[in-house]
Amino acid sequence: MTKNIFMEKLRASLSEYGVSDTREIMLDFEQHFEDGAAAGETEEQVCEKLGDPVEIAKQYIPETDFTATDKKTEASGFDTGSFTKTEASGFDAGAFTKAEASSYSGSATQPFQADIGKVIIVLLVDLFVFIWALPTLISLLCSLFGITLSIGASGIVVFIAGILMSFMDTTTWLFTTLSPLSTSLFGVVLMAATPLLVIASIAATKGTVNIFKYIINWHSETFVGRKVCSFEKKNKEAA
Amino acid sequence: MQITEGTVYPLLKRLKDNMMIDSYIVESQEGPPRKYYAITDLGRTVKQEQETEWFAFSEAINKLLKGEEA
Repeated sequence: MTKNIFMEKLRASLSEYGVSDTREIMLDFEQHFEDGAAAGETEEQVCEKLGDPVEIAKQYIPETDFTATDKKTEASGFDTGSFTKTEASGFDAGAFTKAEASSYSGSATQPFQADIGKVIIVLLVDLFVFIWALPTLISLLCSLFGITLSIGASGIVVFIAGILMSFMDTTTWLFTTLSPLSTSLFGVVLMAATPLLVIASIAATKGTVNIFKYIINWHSETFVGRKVCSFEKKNKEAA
Repeated sequence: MQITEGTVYPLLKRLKDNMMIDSYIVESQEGPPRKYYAITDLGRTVKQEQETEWFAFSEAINKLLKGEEA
C-alpha cells in the first residue's frame, strides 16, 4: 500500500465513523510517514507497520462502548497497549475486558430488544385494525355525527313549522295529521335529543381516541419498550 | 492479536482528550515541525491510581491462579 492509498482509506473511514478532528489525526500520520522516510523506510514498509487504516480509524471512535460488537478486539487492543509489560506475564487481556464488559452491561441500562413473537402478533392485529376496525369505527363516528346534525336541524325545522302551522288553515296541510301544538312539541323533543346525541358523539370520539392510544402504546412498548401516549385523569379528586 | 504501530496515535489522542497528556509542536531546523507529548499532573495522579489498582488486581489473580489462600 502506498502512502496516498493509506491516507485516503484512513480519511474515508474516519468520516464514515463520524470522528471529529480528522485534520489533526491526518497530520499525525503525515508526520509518521515523513519520519519513516527520514529513517530510510519505504512507504510500503511504513504502511505494513502501521496496520490496517480501517482498524486504526475504528480506534478513534469516542469512548469504547462495551456492548457493541466488534469492540472486544478494540478494547483488548487498548488494554494490551497500555499494559504491554503484563502481556509477558501471560495474562489474557481479552478475558479481563470481557469480564469488565459484563459488569458494565449489568449496571447500565440495556438497549431494548424487541421480542419477535410479540412483533408478529402486533403486526397481525394491525392487519385486522387497518382493514376492519379502523374503517368501521370511523364510519360509525361519522354517521353518529351526521345523525346528530340532522336530528338537531330537523328539530328546529319541525318546531318552526309547528308555530307557522298555528297561523295557517290546517286543512291546507295535506301531509300531516298532527295539530300545530303536537308538531311544535315534536320539534322540541327532537331539539332536546340533540344535546344528548352531541354528548354521546363526543364520548364515542374520546373512546375511539383512547382505544387508539392503547394500540399505539402497545406498539411502542413492543417495539421500543416504553409508552408514548398518556391518558386524561378520570378522577378529579386528586386536584 | 497483533499490535501495530498505528495503534499508538488513537491511544495518544484518547489520553489527550482525557487530559492525561498534553501535546505541543516544536519547529524543527531540518524537516517539518515535530509534535511532542508530555504527561500532565492529572495524568500522573491517574497513573498512580491505576498502578495501585493494577497491582492489587494482578496480585489477586495470581493468587487465584496459583491456588493460594487469599
